[in-house]
Amino acid sequence: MTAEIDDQTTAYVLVAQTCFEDLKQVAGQLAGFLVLAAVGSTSGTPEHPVLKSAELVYRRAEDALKSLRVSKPARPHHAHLLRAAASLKTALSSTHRRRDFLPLLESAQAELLAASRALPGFQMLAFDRGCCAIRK
Amino acid sequence: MKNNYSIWVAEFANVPNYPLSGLLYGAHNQGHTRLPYCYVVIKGHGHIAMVDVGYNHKEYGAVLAGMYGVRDWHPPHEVLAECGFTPEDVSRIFLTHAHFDHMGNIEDFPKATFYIQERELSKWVWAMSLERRFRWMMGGVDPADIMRTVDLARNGRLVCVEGYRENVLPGIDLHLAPDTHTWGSMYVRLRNDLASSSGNAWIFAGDLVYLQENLRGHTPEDPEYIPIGFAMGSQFNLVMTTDELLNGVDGDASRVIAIHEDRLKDMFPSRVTANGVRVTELALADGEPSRIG
Repeated sequence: MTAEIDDQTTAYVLVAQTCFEDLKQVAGQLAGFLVLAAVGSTSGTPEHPVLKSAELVYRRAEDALKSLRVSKPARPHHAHLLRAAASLKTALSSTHRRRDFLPLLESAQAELLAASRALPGFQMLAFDRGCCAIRK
Repeated sequence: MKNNYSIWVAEFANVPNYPLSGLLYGAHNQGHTRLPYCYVVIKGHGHIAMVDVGYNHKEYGAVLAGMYGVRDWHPPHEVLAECGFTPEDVSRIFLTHAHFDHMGNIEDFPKATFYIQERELSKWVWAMSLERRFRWMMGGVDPADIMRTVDLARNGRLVCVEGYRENVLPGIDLHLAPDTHTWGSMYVRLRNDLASSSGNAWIFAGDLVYLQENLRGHTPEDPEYIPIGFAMGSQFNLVMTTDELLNGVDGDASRVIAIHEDRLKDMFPSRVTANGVRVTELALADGEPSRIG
């Protein structure tokens, strides 16, 4: 991970964080829906509010991605976000066609994990909002 | 006292200085304590079972070590070897809740069937459908764990429990503690004599209890329930659940096992192995050799 970053990249990080969080949330939402469907939960139907929310959050992330000003050092990071978004977009459209979109989610997750390692300031898991890990 | 199961608590990582206030409600500015991360290993009736599986070190080990002070992580194959088992030997795993340090390592147990409360899953998914300003409610839950859970469910290796389930293995019962530490926290009661009115019961409390003080307060001769510091549900529900836990072990607080309690090692036979893994032995079935020596 880069030890020091320039001002342009810092500005990119600050804006991209929300976009990254939104993409993560969409991946989690769709995975959550798949779990409910897989275990036969009565709430695991296409009418579950999590799918509607995932579409809204995805649209917000997509708009934010388009408006990002990407510095040269941030390009690999941005590429990971774009690939994650593409996988999630296809996954979202698959929810209506009853296709298995778990591989797409796993692909998006891998891209987000790679993004979290490409620049500082991107966490895959909010440990600081958890119960058993306290930031030093 | 006849034991049908052998039980060990195995430590796989620790935080050397964790604020006491996170563990004990209201203990602000009262210092820090060592916080072990452990899982429970149970052997009996032809099964190796576990309560919780730890976290995904491959993905988060560096972050947890660098930013959160989590140390001395050991992989399950190394930890279980100290009890004479491999991860492949494990056939049943009871997930007390969906936080990363309890269900983050399911992929390391390829032959196990996992049990979790349906409420825990469905409420997390509900929380994910809320707007961004509610994101505190998602703290500690890893979407990657949820993806791995999909695979488990599709392969018939995930059992969603709705409330109470008796005898998931002979003498082992699962209990729901709704809206406590999390929405669908579960605790495990093991009746080691298999009797319905057991005089030899243990409870594995997950994160419903962190310390002995949660069970008895600061003055054991005048006990008081003090809830843990972190509740997704309510402190009231935690207090009422604490009473339920103690009733399940005839009031013997030492039989409510809190896997983050560092003093377990002082309450039961314990040893640190050559590669730094602590194993604490709670019970041995008849004929089972000690792993403590």
